Amino acid sequence: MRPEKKERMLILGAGAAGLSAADAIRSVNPDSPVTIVSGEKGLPYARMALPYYISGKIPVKGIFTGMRRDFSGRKIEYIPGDPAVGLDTHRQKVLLRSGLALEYGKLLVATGSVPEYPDMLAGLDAPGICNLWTLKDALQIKRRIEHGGAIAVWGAGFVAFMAAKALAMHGRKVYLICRANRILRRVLDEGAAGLMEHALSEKGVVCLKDTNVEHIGVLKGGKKHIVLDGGRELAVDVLIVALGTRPNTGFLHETPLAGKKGLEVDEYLGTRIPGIYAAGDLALVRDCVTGERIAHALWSAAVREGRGAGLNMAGDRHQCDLSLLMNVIDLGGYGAVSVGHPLLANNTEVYQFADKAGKAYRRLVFQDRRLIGAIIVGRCTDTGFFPALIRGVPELTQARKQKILRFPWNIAPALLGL
Amino acid sequence: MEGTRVLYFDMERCVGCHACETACKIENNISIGPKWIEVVQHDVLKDDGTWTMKFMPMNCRHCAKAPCIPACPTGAIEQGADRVVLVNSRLCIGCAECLQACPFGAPQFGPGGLMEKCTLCAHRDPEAPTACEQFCPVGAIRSGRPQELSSQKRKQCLFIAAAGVTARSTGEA
Amino acid sequence: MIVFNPDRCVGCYACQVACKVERGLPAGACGITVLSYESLDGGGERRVHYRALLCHHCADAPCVRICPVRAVTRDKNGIISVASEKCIGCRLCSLSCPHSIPSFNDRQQMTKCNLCIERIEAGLKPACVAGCPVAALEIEAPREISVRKRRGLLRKRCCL
Ligand SMILES: Cc1cc2nc3c(=O)[nH]c(=O)nc-3n(C[C@H](O)[C@H](O)[C@H](O)COP(=O)(O)OP(=O)(O)OC[C@H]3O[C@@H](n4cnc5c(N)ncnc54)[C@H](O)[C@@H]3O)c2cc1C
Ligand code: SF4
Ligand code: SF4
Repeated sequence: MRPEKKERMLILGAGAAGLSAADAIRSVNPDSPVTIVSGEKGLPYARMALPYYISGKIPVKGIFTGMRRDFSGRKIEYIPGDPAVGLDTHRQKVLLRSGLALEYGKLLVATGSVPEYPDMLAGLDAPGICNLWTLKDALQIKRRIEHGGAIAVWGAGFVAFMAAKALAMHGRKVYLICRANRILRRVLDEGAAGLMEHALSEKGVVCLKDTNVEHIGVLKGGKKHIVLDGGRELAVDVLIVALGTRPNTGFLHETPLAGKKGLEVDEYLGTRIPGIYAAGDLALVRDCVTGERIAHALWSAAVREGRGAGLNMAGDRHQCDLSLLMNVIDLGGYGAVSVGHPLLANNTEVYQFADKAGKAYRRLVFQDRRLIGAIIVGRCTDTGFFPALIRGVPELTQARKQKILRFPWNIAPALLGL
Repeated sequence: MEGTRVLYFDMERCVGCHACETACKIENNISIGPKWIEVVQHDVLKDDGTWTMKFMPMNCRHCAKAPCIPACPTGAIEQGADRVVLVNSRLCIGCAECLQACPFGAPQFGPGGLMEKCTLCAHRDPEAPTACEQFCPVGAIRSGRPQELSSQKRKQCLFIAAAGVTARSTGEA
Repeated sequence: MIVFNPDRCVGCYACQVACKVERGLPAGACGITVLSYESLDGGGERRVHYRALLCHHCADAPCVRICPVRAVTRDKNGIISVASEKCIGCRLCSLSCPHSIPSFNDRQQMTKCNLCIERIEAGLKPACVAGCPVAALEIEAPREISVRKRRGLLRKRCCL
């Protein structure tokens, strides 16, 4: 028997947010009809595992996050390879590219984000110039560098770093083209970025800082020719473009939901239109430090929001935790963790600690008797306590703060002891 | 009146019939396993060399400075305006840290592994008796504010002293 | 779950040694971590306390929820364990775990307490529990902990 269409809970996107939502709906409601639509063909996979597939740490089968039997066994309908192209909020219908129109009772928009592709590359449809965003991209990159070769990564944000690291771990020569004066400028300060750049260079990554790309062309034989400002030229086999992302909301342009920065949601993950929820990279959720509505492109946020949205779609009233930035930058055991807003500068107290060997570094930032951000480089055993502390569980008492500042290299005793 | 409502257990009256456990299970639809209220027993050697059995129902005490609240790493346990300690099962991850912190062993874990415990029958009228109180056949459980319970107990003591009889034969105190 | 009794612990780290030996873990990775901290007692004397950080094998474990490659799983007995070879080393589990339990081996793949599942199946106690010379660790189900505490209180009351 076909389920009542109006009851259908429709999830657009089979990423972290979409699948968490489906799990949450099933945990409350074992029977309601759930449909997941994915824009990509095949089984759902974890985007953030792609660099590890490229570096060879895991086989390709290790990136998949759901098997067919997971869906059929839990009575979830899975429609892959058919992206949504339109939404009719009055008739409560989503139109897919194949022409299929799906009615829904509750809708979750979890289509994530899409990488930017600069105008400079328009018309230059050369194989070997790509983003690192989808499985298709990853398979292409992996195939091209199987037998060696040089790679340029354009950008110096998180995805760019992950790409450079994966390729360096795979033993390839990598150039990281960075517009700013340091890598990972949104999450690391100069000190930490310096340590990471040094560690990267030991793995064979050349960081070209304060550098812009002026021209890109294709040489005979397929090599990519990159002209940088200052006249430097590179010839590489693969160019990975990682210049940031924007919310994947194109198909919503005719609805009142569409926004440039993403979809605004309340603490129950509901959008402006009742019955429509949003979660993941495109949802604008309040940040737990600044209170601003921003979209955090984080796996952890996508899982949390997906779960919250799923619970609320299933009829619960679950207030989702505010969003917290956290990035892990690992280079084979040596790495950095950045939590919260360690670079915020108004009315903050900043403490910096460095060890004698120059390997470990910590930056702790307090504001109004709260910890609001931390950067931890090297010695990373107590990092798990930082997210909770920034969220305010346990409370940062004066005694705890003193203790943390006195023994900054492991905050666990300060939190457990008092 | 001021203060939380608490349950007062009269050890002299409890006969160990477990009616409160049953009443609680039915009232709150609790699965097999967890016991929001549980009657425990202990054998005591009397002065004359014979043994006697002591019983006592145990539930959550809804402490004013509840140690389970700071112990919970996810902030799932909250105290309402009336100081009843309640758990938000959507935030609970089932790590049982609260159970380790609670001196009374009150937090219980159902088949799903998440924490559940006595709510002082929060769904009932706040002035109505709790299910365990209502169904205790010997009146061993009384709910009330600490002040009320204290004056009841003081009156009872005076009564015992004056009449020279045991608490058991006084009927409703 | 494994319960730690801070009043008994003497800070000998035998549990850590036992865990590492049992599971063959490299430096830096361990299923149990004993932390020490000092406080001043009423008379101004310094006192050292110990706390063991142990996996709680959470029922709805955040580490299971967050792992992007589903390397961390909960088995039918409620034991949370990791298939290290599937792990990509993203460390999201250690950031999501409120007790900061997950630790990493030299391939940067997560390892954690699996409650010594093979030992339990063979009728033995986990290595750390068996290795503790002062019985500061005990393996106990939540139900047993609750009953132990409830009985203990009544016993105390009866001794008054
Ligand atoms: C290389 C890389 C490394 C990363 N590393 C980390 C990391 O270490 N830590 C971290 O926290 N985050 C990391 N991220 C970010 C993380 O992967 C994302 O934040 C997360 O995947 C967001 O989840 P989501 O569910 O919002 O979107 P996505 O996972 O992007 O899923 C979107 C889904 O929507 C589908 N879809 C798209 N358009 C449509 C449409 N029109 N109709 C229907 N379906 C559609 C897609 O097919 C996909 O299934 C990384 C990202 C990349 C690319
Ligand atoms: S690793 Fe942490 S989150 Fe996972 S089960 Fe253990 S205590 Fe819970
Ligand atoms: S570090 Fe490994 S086990 Fe932990 S979340 Fe990442 S992939 Fe999963």
